[in-house]
Amino acid sequence: MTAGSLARLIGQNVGRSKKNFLMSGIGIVVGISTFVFFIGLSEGIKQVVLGRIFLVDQVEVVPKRFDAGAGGLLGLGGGRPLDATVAEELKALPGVVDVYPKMKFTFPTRGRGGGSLFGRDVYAELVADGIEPRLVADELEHPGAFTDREVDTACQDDKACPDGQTCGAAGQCEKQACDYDWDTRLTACPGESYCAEDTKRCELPIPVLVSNHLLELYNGSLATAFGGSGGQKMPRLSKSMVMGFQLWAEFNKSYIDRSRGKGSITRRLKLVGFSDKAISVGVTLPLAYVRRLNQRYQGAEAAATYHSVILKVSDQTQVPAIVKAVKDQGFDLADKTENAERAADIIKTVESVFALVSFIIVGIAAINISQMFFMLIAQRRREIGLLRALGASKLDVRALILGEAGLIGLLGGIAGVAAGVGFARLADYVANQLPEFPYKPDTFFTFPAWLWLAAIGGAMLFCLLGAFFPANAAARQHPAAALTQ
Amino acid sequence: MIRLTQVEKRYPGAAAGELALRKVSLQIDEGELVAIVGTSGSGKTTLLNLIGGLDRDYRGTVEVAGHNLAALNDRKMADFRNRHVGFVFQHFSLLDHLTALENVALPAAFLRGPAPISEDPVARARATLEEMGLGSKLGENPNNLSGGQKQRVAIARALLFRPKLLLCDEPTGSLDSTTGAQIIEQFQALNREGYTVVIITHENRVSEAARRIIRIEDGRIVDDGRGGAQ
Repeated sequence: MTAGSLARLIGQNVGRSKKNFLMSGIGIVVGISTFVFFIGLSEGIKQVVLGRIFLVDQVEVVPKRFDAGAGGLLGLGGGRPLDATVAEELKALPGVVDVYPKMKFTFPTRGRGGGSLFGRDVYAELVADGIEPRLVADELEHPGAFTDREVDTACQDDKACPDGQTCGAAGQCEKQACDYDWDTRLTACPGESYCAEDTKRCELPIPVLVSNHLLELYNGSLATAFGGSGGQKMPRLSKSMVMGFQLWAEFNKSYIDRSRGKGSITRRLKLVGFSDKAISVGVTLPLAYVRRLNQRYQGAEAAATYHSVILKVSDQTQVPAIVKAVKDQGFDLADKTENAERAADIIKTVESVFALVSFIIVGIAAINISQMFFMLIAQRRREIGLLRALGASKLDVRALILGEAGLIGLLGGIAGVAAGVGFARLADYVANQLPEFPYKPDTFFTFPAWLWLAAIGGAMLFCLLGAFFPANAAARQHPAAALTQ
Repeated sequence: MIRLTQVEKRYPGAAAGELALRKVSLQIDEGELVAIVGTSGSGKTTLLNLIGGLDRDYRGTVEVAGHNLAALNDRKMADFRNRHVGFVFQHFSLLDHLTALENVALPAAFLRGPAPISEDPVARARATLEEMGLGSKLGENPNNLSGGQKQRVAIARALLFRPKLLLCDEPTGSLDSTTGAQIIEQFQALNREGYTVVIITHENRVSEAARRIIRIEDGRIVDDGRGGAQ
């Protein structure tokens, strides 16, 4: 039998048993729409959770932590320190393509500013860390803005030097001297440079990054809470509104511990970009600044010890092996990485449960389809005998029954996918009516191409499985006996 | 054309000595019009099923159109039925969801390899129906046809690939006498065209039309003589 003849006969048979097939197909549609809806939802949530909240394409390594019950109480806390040597060892692990050390401030810092945004300055304790600029180079709009601006710059004339610097006799840019005055410190130097109290020289603002989380948290929580009438209002902020925003940072000073302040210096910070690799709540500086400041306030050891090292992995599937190797070397994972792993596990589990439930529904539908085909074959017994008499082989009869089942699966799968996507759109519409909250996505659903294939292929597979035994029974029918029925 | 040698058939579940056919040997030559007659349960339909390759569970040898049917696998047997045998049944066996034209062209769906006729099967189906006076009924479903028209559609289907052999099981059993007579005439005409026609019947008017009558009783051929049409 040619494919064209088979297709024509299948179409004719499905067409005349529309009612039976429709009833049996409903189970397939329900199962597949459930599958598409929940897997689409899981994938969408996974994208938000693992793509925006917890990044899974990197592993953040921290020194070994000891629980309070053991070494912690005995004062034995802290494992092998993370330094440049360890970073090199970690870089040598299979699947690791690069390492990016992170270093936190080992001294308190307080910040103030924001008058241009909020109407008056906001004062807050400032949390900060430092990362290698190359870690974020590919995701910043202006990668050159997030660099160490204290490095020596060769020059032939003043034009080659940044604001507030002139070309010195040694062919290097040198900071201009300035007369410090509280009121004129921002205008005493050219361009964006300002006059620093401690050096009495024109300094450039330190470039900083903030995380996308921070903006999400601010807009989703603070701006919402303070956005109503009465009291101080806080506006919702966009990235473009805050880009270039500057604030004062007082290093080695604290609003919490007022006894601090010895040797403190004040510098200006300038927001130059957003990155998920920046510290969640706080600001992230180029590593060189943090290293120098730690050296200044805590000494050489603090300047050489990293607080964590980010391992960039070549492939997400390598992560479990890398995590094991890291732990074998006596290090722990940062909470964020562990949370990412936990979140991935939870999502995978939930996704598996939904997939299982969906396939149980489709499986029940397949059993229903099997019963329907047994019934149809009993009804069509004489007809099958006739087809055999006219030249149909056992294989032709089997192909005919399985083809009908496959067509039901295909149509049921397509209808199920359409219904699943329709429900997803409805759910998105309902969710869009809800108030804003952190990380609220435009859509909660993601439908990758494999999901379409899995849904329609799964529907066809289950229908074919359901029709397998009836098809065999039909093929085995004795044509003479069937004709004399 | 047809040669049966010492053929025995026992249905599953039947007692050891309870045979549907008992050592039947028979030869039917090309171009014959043969009636096989006998009482109900005598074994005539069993004999037809064996000749037509619908039943392969037997002892002895069945050769049809040069094929030893026991040697054919399922696919080759299906191909044999498709190309070499035309079946006509008592209850017409038409598919109600297909039109008359689609019913006649149905064997073409199971064709493997080149067609045994030079024309397009659908064109041949249309021409055959028109020859049978059903040119205006091509698009009708069997439910809208009379008994005689249905049987002519079934005959047209049997003739699609111009098989050498027509096997007819009580072809007039569901028809009134006038229509039955017309169908018998149809078979006689086909026989004159060169078709070998084997008709199972218990009606005298049908057997009288045959040139040869084979009487079968209790699974045995008890008479093989000339019919009324000789």
